Amino acid sequence: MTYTSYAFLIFTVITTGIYYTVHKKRQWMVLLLSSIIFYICSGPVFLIWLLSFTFFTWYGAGKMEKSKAGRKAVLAVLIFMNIGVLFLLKWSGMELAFINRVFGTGLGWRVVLPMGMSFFTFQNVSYSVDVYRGKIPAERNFWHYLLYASYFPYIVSGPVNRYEKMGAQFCAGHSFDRDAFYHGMLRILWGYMKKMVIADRAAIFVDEVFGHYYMYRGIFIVIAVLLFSLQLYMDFSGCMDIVLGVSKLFGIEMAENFRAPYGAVTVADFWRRWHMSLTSWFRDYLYIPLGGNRKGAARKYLNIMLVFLFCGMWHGAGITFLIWGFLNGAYQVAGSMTVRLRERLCQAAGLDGHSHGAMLRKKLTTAVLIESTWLFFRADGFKEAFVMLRRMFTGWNPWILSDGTLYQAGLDQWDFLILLVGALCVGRVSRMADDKDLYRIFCSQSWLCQIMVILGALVVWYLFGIYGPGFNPVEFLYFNF
Amino acid sequence: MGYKVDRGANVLVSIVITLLVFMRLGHVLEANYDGNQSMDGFYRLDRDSVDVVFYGSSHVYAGVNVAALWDDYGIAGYDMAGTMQTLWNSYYNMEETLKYQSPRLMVVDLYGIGIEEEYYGTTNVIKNVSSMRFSLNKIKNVWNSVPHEEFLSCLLSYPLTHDSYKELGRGNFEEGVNSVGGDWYKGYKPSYAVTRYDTLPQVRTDLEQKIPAQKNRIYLEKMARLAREHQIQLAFMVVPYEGIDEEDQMLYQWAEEYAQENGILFLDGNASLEEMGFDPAVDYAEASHLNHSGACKFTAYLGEWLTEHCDLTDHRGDDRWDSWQKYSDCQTARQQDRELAQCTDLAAYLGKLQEREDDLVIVSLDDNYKKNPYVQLLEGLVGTDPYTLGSSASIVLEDRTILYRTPDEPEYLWYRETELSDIGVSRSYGGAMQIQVNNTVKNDNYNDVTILVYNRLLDEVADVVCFNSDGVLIR
Repeated sequence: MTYTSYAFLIFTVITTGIYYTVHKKRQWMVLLLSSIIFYICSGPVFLIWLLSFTFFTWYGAGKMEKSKAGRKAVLAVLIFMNIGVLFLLKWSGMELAFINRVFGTGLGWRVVLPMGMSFFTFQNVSYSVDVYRGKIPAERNFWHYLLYASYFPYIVSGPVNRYEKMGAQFCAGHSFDRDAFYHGMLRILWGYMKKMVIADRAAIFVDEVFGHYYMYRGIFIVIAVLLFSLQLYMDFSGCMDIVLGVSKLFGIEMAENFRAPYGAVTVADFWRRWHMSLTSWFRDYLYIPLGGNRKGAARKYLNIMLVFLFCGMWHGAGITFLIWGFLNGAYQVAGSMTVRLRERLCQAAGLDGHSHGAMLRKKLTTAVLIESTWLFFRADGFKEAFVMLRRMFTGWNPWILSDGTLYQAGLDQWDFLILLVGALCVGRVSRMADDKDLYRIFCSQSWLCQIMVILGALVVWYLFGIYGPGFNPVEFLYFNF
Repeated sequence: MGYKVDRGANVLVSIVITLLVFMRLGHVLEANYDGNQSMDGFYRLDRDSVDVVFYGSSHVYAGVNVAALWDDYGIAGYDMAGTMQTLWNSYYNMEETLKYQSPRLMVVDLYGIGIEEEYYGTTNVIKNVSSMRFSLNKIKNVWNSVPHEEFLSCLLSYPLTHDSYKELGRGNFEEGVNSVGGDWYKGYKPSYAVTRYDTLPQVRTDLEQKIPAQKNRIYLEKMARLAREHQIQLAFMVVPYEGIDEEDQMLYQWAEEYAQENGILFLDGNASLEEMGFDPAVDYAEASHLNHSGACKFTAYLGEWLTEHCDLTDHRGDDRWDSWQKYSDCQTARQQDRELAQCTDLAAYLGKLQEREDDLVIVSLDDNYKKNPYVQLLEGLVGTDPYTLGSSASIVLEDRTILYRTPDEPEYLWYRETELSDIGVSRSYGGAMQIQVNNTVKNDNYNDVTILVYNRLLDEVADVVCFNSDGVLIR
């Protein structure tokens, strides 16, 4: 059941209806039942995984709180169980290939990861560690905890939420708040626009070029990488808008997951704006336990590299993901190592490092560095990535921008115009949202103005959305992780 | 209370505005698929005006010339056909027909009887069904035509039509623009392509019958029951096509027996090709469809068959059936335009022009025209010695009468607005003379003479030709 399907819309409407019909004390049960049903739709057998991991985590955390003896061992088991099994399954293909190569066997099986495993295991780990540290008390009620682990809006592609933020909200009763409901609906519409008008449109070109990389050179590849970065952001942030919007319908608030990431001035800044729930998880549960920046510069750099290599491994089983993680880590380390040198150079040259020009230069540089990592992230394999990298520079072909060849890769002039206008609009709104309460501003307009804006958005979605016969609905990218 | 009413009214108005906008958008984007044109044209018919409705695939709209049925027999017929219209779609079209019309006869082409899949061609279903008015009948039509997981998409139709914003034309905004006969469209879409075949297809009567798929049998039964309930004569027919094979014939033989058992009329066009005077070198567009020539022959035979087997009234001369006469006039005009556009001899061309009616003809004579000996041939058309018309000139003729003659001045302008076009003859100071139709210049000033023929009945340009001193027509 994808977020852009009729089934999901109908499912959400029914759940919301029942949610506000039952007594407030029973509302969490409605969410739990809906989440279980949602999970079963992905494959009933996977429910066993969810229940098992969730039960053992809940039970183990309860044991840790009750008894001081053996707490570390219990924590280690819980972390190993969640993370270890996750990576065992995720990287099973590569492990199998290694075993076959080393032992000459011909083993071959296909492992299908249970839906949302990457996310509920991380939430299990954060809960376990927080209980261990005494930050939060262990949840007494298994069903409450199960709801936290399985909550249907976020189980598929996050964000990665902390129990301290979510637990109380699930159990508190929520009266119907028209304002929150309206806000949620607007948020969902915004998410659909980003996903179906921009992300799925960009995906056509990206899939064509990356899928037939041996036929494309130069600017084709550059544009494909740029469009992939656009696709990924619109797809993922659009998904988050839908998730946050649906939660708002139930009166449940979640933290934002993006903050205008392509406005970052350094790679480190980028990672403070992109998938913030995941990066904060890595910071709190990996980077800081490894020592963070408290054990000297060398250790700090090592920790950054380890975190990003781990991040790469989490995203996918393949060398390209490791390279992607490595590059992100390396850029941050290089940036950190050279920050003083660059400041001295600017001073010596009489340049103001905080001028508009300097900020623009930093943003562009950061964007170029991040784009360079997306090539590896998207490429189908190691060989493909390097071939594309080589062909990007050895087949420079600027004429494709004017002789019409550009439009032979699945997108025509209309599509590029829609992407450009869409990206500019979303960019503008994202920057405004940084320091303004856009929802309040919107609601302060007349009802006629509001309906015109909503109607305009619906018309844009209706006319320019990518859906229907002839199009395969593009799954949200972060479903795959 | 006042505040609550205000808010409620706002929400209601918002919903109504949204629905209206999307209904209009959907209608615009539905484009001009043949199934939609057929349905739209059907809804424009006067109530209880049609005598015979023909259902089926493109075989029907290419092969049954309802204009000829009118001309020869005064039969008010309608082709309610669409690309790959299945028997179940035909059945629901029959149900739809009976909401607005009381035909004497419903005729179903059986080409779809060979379909064995439960669901056939989602895209075509949408194209054929999207213009049907929203009703329980439409819901049942879609439910039975597409896999259930595609039901909502197909019912709403926007998943197919929404992308057509890239191909919007005038016909998306003005009904009837893209079909011959405009508002009087009766479903016939002639093809003028010709594929030569050496022989006519052989039809065998000694083949075993083949029973069609269950779904087809169910819907044939439903059709029979529907016709009985409404006391309407039902007929099955097979419009001739070159690509008929033995399997098709086996199915049609089953259908013929079924028809006999159930009191349904049956006509297999493929069995009477020689009787119709079919010429395989001339009458087929390709293996699946008749062209206009073949359609006229089949329709002549069909008309005779209809009058023999059914009691149909000749409505010619009755003003209430005026739209059929107008449609027939449009088809005739289109045919004449085609013949004109295929003429390659100058003298013959000018002769045809003089015989035509309902034309606006603009003759444009460029600077060198006086050296052209063939210009003399224009005298019969323009009604005066063309060499006396000045250094360069244009003449606008309507029904062979001079409407406008350009003065011998550096600037002039004449224009005419029709429902679909803006036609103009102009010259600005220092510029060249121009004949324009809807922003497009039709004369190029490299040729001595340009003749533009505008068909006023069809409201479109029929032909544009030029000729120089060699007298050869150039297009």
